[in-house]
Amino acid sequence: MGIEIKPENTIFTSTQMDIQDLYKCVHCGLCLSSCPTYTVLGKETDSPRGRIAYMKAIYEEKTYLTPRIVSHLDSCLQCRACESVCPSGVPFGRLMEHTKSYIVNKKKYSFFRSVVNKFLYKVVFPKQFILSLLSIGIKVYKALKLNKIRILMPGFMIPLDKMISDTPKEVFRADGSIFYSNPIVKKRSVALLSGCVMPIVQSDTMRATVRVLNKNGCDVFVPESQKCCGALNIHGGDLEGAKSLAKANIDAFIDLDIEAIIVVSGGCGAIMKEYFDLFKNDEEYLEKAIRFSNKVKDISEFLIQISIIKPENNLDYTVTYQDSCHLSNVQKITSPPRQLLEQIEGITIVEMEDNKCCGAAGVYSLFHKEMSSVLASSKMDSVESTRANVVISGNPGCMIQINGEASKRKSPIKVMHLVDILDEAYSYAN
Amino acid sequence: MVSVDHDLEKYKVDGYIPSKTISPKSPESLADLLRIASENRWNVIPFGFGNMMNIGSIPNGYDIALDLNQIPKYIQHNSEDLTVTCSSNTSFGELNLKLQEKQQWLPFDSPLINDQSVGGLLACNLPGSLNACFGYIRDYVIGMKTATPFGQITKSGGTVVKNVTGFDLTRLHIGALGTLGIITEASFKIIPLPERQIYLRIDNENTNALIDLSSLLNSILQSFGVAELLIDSLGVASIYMTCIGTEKVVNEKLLEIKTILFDHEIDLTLNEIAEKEWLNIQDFGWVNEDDFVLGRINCLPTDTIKILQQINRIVADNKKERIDTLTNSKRGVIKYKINPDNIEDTIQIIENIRDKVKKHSGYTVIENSGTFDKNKLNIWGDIPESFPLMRKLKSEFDPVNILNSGRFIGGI
Amino acid sequence: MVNSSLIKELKKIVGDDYVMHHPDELLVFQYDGSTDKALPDVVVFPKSSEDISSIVKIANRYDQYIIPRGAGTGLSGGAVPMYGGIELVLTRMNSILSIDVENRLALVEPGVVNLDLSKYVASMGLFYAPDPSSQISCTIGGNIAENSGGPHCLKYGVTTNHVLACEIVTENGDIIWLGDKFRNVPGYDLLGGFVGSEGMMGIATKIIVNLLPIPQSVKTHLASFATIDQASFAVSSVISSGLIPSAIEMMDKLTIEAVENVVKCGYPDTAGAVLLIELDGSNEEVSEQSKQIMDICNSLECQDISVAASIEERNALWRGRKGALGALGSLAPNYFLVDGVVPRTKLPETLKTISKISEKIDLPIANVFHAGDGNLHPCILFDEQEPGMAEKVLGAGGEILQACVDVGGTLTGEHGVGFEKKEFMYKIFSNSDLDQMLRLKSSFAPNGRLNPGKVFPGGPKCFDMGNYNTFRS
Repeated sequence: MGIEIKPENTIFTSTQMDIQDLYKCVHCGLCLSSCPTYTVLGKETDSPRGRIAYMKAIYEEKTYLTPRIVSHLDSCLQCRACESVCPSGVPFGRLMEHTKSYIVNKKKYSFFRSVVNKFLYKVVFPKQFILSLLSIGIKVYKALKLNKIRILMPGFMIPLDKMISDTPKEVFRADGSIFYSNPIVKKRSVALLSGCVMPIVQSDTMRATVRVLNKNGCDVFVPESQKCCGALNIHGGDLEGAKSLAKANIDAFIDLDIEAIIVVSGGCGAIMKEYFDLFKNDEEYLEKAIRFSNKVKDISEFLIQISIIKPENNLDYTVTYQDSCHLSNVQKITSPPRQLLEQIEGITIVEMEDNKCCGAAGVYSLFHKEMSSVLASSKMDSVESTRANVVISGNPGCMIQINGEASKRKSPIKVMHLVDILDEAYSYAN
Repeated sequence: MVSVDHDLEKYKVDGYIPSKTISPKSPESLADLLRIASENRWNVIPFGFGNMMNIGSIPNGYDIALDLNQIPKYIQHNSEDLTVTCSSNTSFGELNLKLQEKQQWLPFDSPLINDQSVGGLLACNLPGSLNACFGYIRDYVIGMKTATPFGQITKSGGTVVKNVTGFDLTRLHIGALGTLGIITEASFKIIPLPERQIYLRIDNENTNALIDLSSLLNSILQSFGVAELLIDSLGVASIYMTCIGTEKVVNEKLLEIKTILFDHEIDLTLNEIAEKEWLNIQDFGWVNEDDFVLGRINCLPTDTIKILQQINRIVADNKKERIDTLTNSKRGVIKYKINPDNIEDTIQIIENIRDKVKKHSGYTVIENSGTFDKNKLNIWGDIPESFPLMRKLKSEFDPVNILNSGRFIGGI
Repeated sequence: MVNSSLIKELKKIVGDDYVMHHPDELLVFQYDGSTDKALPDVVVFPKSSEDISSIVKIANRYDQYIIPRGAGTGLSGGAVPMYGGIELVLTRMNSILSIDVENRLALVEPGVVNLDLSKYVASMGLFYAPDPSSQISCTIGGNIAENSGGPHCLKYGVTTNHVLACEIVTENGDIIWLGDKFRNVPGYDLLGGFVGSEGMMGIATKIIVNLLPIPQSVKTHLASFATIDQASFAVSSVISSGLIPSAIEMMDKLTIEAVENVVKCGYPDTAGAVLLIELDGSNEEVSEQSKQIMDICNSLECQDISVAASIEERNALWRGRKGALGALGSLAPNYFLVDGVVPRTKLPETLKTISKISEKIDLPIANVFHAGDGNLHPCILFDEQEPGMAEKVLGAGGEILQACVDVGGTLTGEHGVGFEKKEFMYKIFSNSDLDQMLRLKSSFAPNGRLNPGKVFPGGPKCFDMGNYNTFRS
């Protein structure tokens, strides 16, 4: 017994992990069955408790980052389901973010992985023009009808193809526009985070968001200087990159005279509500980050708070609601989306038995194809057993993942964002 | 320390008379005796109240009858803790009377329940109807002391209601017929006496209707009671029932039962009966009116009626032998009592029944063989897959095989 | 130590992915939910009884210990490989094989998570009664090894009351069924001896358990009392009144504070102790009994008694109880959990002794426990970084257990003896008592190959005790 906490220990200090957090874990194991990777593999090495044990062992210098340990740590989806069942309140997500950063700092990823990481975190997500190039690429792909040449398409491309073919023509631009609501009903002003991928892949959803907010008396401002939220950087261990994105966003939103910063992506919202974690040693931004985080609202949370106008359309759907991990486990938002759905006449809600991660988890599916597809498949099983014809989610990652799996199975099931269905119920659609 | 009794005839088992009977005066001297018997390889048969000695197969030998009745009797009732500890030679009837003074009880029944010693009840483990509502004796024993062939008094469990300290030896001795050691003391968790217990009987000539009804009644009674179906050798059936619970529950159940009977297409009358009549049913096959063989079938509750109907066919085919059955579809038990015309036919019937039961993955044992030659009856039925482990267990606990040698399953 | 040909043979049975032997991977198999730690030499994840049988046979050839492990949530070191060897992890064997609704039976593999079984049969109107606090993660196989209980075993009994049969793999690799789909099968109740044998007598590979119908109605009461004495008295009064609640749980002031800090489930901050009293059964039964409970508590000057009005409120009350240990973890970096049992009438006396011990060692001890069974869980809060703390805490734990034994109680009500409490066994049992247990063990596993060094005082081979088997012929 008797573990000495060594502040001078260089391990993790570069990432400023709070070592006391590690020792909050009493290894009771209650987290195990909440963990998607443990449930699939049944191995302690790929469980929250096991990963914390690795972190402790590394901190206590009982081992170092071996390739095997890296792979077990890296198999974590960072879904944070374990946090919601942990009786000791271990902040697992934060520990894992620091650990990933440590892996990056120690250059323990493979050369290929490092290059891809760098490309994604330093180039793609922060720079909107790269994403614009992507949107052009998608247009070319569609124009050339490459997807028609099915025979050439490898299996894993099907979901991607589905995503591409679903991509709307028009991009949603964060160009400083203000979308005004009807002056008669106008009550509030909000700002909208446009995000990095959604404005291209799910631009229709962004437009639907604006319409739903307008309908409920909100003027919507989309600041031009905003950037990607940085969630993917944080999850990938690029804390510095995340910090600079966070700063840009804080600067873009902090002085606006608005009631809330609306986010339609569970993952983005989660990280934006935790921006202050990044600025523990930066007093200036710490204060701003706390103010900023307090204003961040998921669209469902916000709509319930202002109590919406009852949608007039009757929609004859059986729906099931997919809890996005970061919406439910981090933002603790599970009932507002369901309450909103209940307000739509004609809708039947059937709950899935199992609400584990769908395996999307940001860029996880790129590096852990196998695990990701096992989880997607088990998610789809749960979806299908509800006999719903529509899956609703509040996170683009889940939507793309489930949509991809559905097209793999040639399932007719429709995947919609919560605001899409609200928009349809408000009769704006089409 | 010990007294020697020369009235050997009353200790007769399966026609064997012991060379000696010894009545130890304390558990310690009992243990000493067992050690000495082990050293001398004497065959010992423990003797409590002596009412259930017909159980089991023929002993390998019988040197000493070990009469346990001279050991001091005691009952320590901790009513506020709902536990009781008593010497194994306490009469179960007396024990329950004592508990009832404080409105508590041990909810078991068994043949001759009030004339069994606590130790005998545990060692024989012949559960009656009530375990369908209250579980088995094994669920109530929380601790035990036993005298071993090594000359020691050993204990397992304790006197608290929840306990996982050490391995669970108490359950091994329950139903072991004293072949692993002699129980000297037992502790039980007990439960509050219910407000009311009533006993009922339904008679009708339509046997098939009563068979269906007994299953229905069992499902209506839920955990508040149990119904036994008696079909006598002439094919006349009656249902015996008990209902236990609060005043309110019993009244409700009674009302439900009456409604069912009222709605039934045939005329059925419900008689409230005395406790004594219910106890008589529990004694099925254990009261000596005549010579008979009593068999017990254990099977899945859902298979009970199927097996009963097969037995009924065997009965119908067999004009000579008189066969009574007592069936409990709730706990999957059928008892059958054969008054044999001749032993060969009886053996044939038992083997027939055994075949049918086996097809439903059930078991048949002969509980009481009356005065018939046990050599001709397969008392314990087929030996289970785990028998080699049982044999090893026996050889660990009683290495020179002195305790009730030969009387238990597979010649243990 | 293991050699490469052992690894090769194991891989041949279960496949390369399911054998771990590199030191860096073994690291996370050295602990369970308790404080004991030790590294295995190799970890294997079998998929079937046949796999396990082959592995056991290999272990015999290579003279290796076998340490079965479920989820590793045990609290007595039962799954910790104290002397190394092959750790046999059963989590892949997690299928619910069949359900017999009419006879209320379930056939499951040992790696099935306790709560998953109840969830699975809920739609059939059934549930599996034993509910350890770790039921969201712990496995049925582990429950069998430890004979686990839980809050609701006050009414329903512990694991052994609900297991009807097990297919086991023995020490020499034989596959044998113990018990059957119903009770009272001829022969010794070997299953009764097997359940609770802490993995030392065999490995359960298939299990038949009894299911119960979900009660029509459930009512959860929260009663608060000024002192823990009054609350204990209320427990005795309820028990002796003839009611059998499904659970009676007590939490003391320290626990209430901790829980309210973390979980916030509505326990009153003015109370010296609260009781959670749950009733279940038919609607009428429960509402009638609920009145009785109210009357009893009111007549004993309880500060307040209320009934959870909705499922949400009920869940909140239980969330507080089930999260209590973790919440206590937030008061201090470490806790040491004791699992003593006393006769219910001795609760007040024992709690007083515990508070004296707390004063003496100058460390807070929180009490959160299954009051209805007299199963205490004193929880000593400490910081292991302070020098000498480990010895102090273990010493106090021993004193608490001694206090339990002194009033007629015992060492463990539901966590098992394991490694943690084996040296305390002499507080309860004599050498000859332990000899009898060893005889039982020897009839299943004479070589001590399975989970060595648990339950019995002394080292891995526990045969040097007593004059064991004097008359072996």
